[in-house]
Amino acid sequence: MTPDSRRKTQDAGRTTPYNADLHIHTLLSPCGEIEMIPPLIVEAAKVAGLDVIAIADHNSCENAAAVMRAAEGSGIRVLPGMEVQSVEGIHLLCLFDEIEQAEALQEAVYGSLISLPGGAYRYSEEQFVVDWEGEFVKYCEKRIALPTSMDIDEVFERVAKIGGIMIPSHIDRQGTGIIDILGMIPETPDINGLEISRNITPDEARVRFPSVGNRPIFQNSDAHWLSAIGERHTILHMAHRNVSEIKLACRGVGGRRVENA
Amino acid sequence: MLLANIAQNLNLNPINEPSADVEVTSGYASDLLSDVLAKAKNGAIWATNQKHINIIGVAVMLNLAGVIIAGGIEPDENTVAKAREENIPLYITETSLFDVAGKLYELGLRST
Ligand SMILES: [Zn+2]
Ligand SMILES: [Zn+2]
Repeated sequence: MTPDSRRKTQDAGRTTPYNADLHIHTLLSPCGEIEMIPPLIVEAAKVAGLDVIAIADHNSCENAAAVMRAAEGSGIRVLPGMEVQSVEGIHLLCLFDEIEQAEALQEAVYGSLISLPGGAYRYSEEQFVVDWEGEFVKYCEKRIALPTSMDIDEVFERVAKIGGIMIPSHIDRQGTGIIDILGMIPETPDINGLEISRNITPDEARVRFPSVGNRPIFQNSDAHWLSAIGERHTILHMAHRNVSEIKLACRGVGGRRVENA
Repeated sequence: MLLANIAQNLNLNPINEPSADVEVTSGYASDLLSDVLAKAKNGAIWATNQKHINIIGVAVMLNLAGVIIAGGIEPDENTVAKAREENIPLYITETSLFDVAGKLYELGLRST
């Protein structure tokens, strides 16, 4: 692509405001309710008026493809992703366009999950992998509720290399948010956007955490049960519903923007 | 107590030691940088398992006497560079964070 045609693409045409909830867990996450199966997630997203959702289970994307399939024909765009826990304990929302990209990150994540000795803790019994109709396929045997041994910079680099976007999750939350753990938003890497929890407004976040600066703020539901889906959302003004458009919206290119609902 | 005494006593490995002739007035151990920012005192020596560059930022803001990365964890390259740039004494040790804190306490340091 020549620089000229790139500019044309970036400026191309009109943007559409898309209602986005980019942080939804399925029943694969140990903390996710059993009702969080693909067809019901898609149905709840439809009822909530969402145009784009992202599936982000802890350290795994094994149910993302099933939700993508369940959403076929629904008009809802499903981005596959996962919520990676860095070695520092920071929750990081990692989003992609294609399931293969998410699986590439998952492979690295699975390889770096901290292993615990012994089998006394039957961790896998609450980690359900299901098909697009929500039927049981298998238990996920990885200890996905534990941190990985990748630090935040490594997660960022891997996600960028695969073509995804990394957004620190619920930055205002204690124990798992980047600000509590690192004291402030680090100057590097060049983080596109930040997510806040349901407990705070974007304005409050900017006042309470000056290191947020003028980075775009996303607010998602971080839903672990159906009724939470869409309870918080972000309006993304984009030309298409994909990760590169989200990155452009973060940078405010060609009229694209991240608007808080 | 001087930083030099602590470094010698705990057999710390200096990564950056602009001067060990620094008075240490208290100690702190925590991996939550927000907690350190809120509670550690000026002049404290801080022991942590974090290796991220922000630990140096915290040390600068609080004017800490030094930082110890415990548990055999290697600091990031940019963390070391920042420590040099900001003249923050930075040490590493194989000793666990628990034992480092215990030894600092034995030497008479307190967090308050
Ligand atoms: Zn989280
Ligand atoms: Zn989450």
